Amino acid sequence: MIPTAWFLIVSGILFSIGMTGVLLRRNVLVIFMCVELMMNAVNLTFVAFARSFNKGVNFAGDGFVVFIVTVAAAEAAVGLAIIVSLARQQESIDADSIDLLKD
Amino acid sequence: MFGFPLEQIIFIVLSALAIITAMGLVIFKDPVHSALSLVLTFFNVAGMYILMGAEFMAAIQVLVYSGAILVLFLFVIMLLQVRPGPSLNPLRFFQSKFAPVVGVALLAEILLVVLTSNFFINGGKLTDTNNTQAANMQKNVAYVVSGKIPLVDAQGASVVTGTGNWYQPPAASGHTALFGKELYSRFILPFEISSIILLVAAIGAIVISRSALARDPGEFRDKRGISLGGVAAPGSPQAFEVEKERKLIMKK
Repeated sequence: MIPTAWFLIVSGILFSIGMTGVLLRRNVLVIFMCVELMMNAVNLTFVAFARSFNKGVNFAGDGFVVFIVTVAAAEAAVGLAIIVSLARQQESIDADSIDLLKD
Repeated sequence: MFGFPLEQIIFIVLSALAIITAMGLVIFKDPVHSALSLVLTFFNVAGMYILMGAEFMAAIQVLVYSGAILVLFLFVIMLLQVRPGPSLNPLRFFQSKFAPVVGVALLAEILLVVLTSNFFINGGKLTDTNNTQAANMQKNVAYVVSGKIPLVDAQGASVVTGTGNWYQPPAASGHTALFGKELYSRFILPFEISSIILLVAAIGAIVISRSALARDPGEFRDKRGISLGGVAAPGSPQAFEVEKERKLIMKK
């Protein structure tokens, strides 16, 4: 058996890397990908906790993960549409250049 | 091998690869390389799901994340022709120095919490004194595995009045079958709501990303926010508004 703590540590490392990427990078697409990585780390935590309670036949954590994946897919569709529309208007997807709501 | 069981060795390899490729996501200058690195991370996390016995999670990880979302990302990167820029702008000195510090601080906090928790010290055992939570979970496990409704709860009190085998479980086990049963019974309401979320997201993505010229034939409205497009019927209030707007712009 693999201890639950190992999964939690790996998940924490992945989450920290994702957050560092969100703070460090200025390309909006890469920031978005880092957010996806953070969500994935949280999914790993959910499944690890669901495993650790009673040998993994408790499905609350797994249910959470399915709905998180659904929302992530919806969010990727809408967010990328916003980025495409933004790139048409501003001709740049640098996060520093996006500082106005209109025009 | 090296004093570890085989699955722990597999876990160590998978997690090391996942962490290295996740760092590649942050470090690579070209967004395409970042996206491909993230694909590798997702595959390694899917391997960890399989180690945990969650095969369905691994399947949707590969299908939805690596298959759908990352392909969408690559499509947008190549559509917008994003060029790899300088990853560290000297004018943004503060940002490039501050972000790793914050990341390391967060990692230290998470490790502190994990390493002092029951999951590390106590081997994941529940610390419930009467162990009622664990006993109730054991009942639920017995219900899910055998398909028979438990007749008494953890304290021995009866929970159902009728008897008999009125519930016939499907003759299947394994993570996908059990989770499917759970998804269509206990999680049926969130399941339906998520279908509405997907519908709204699909419509919203189409409306937002339609090109401005395609949705508004009149050249005066090409940068005026999101509209559903189409030509207003003559005599309608919408046509009146459009005419008013056109006059206003002509006057300027």
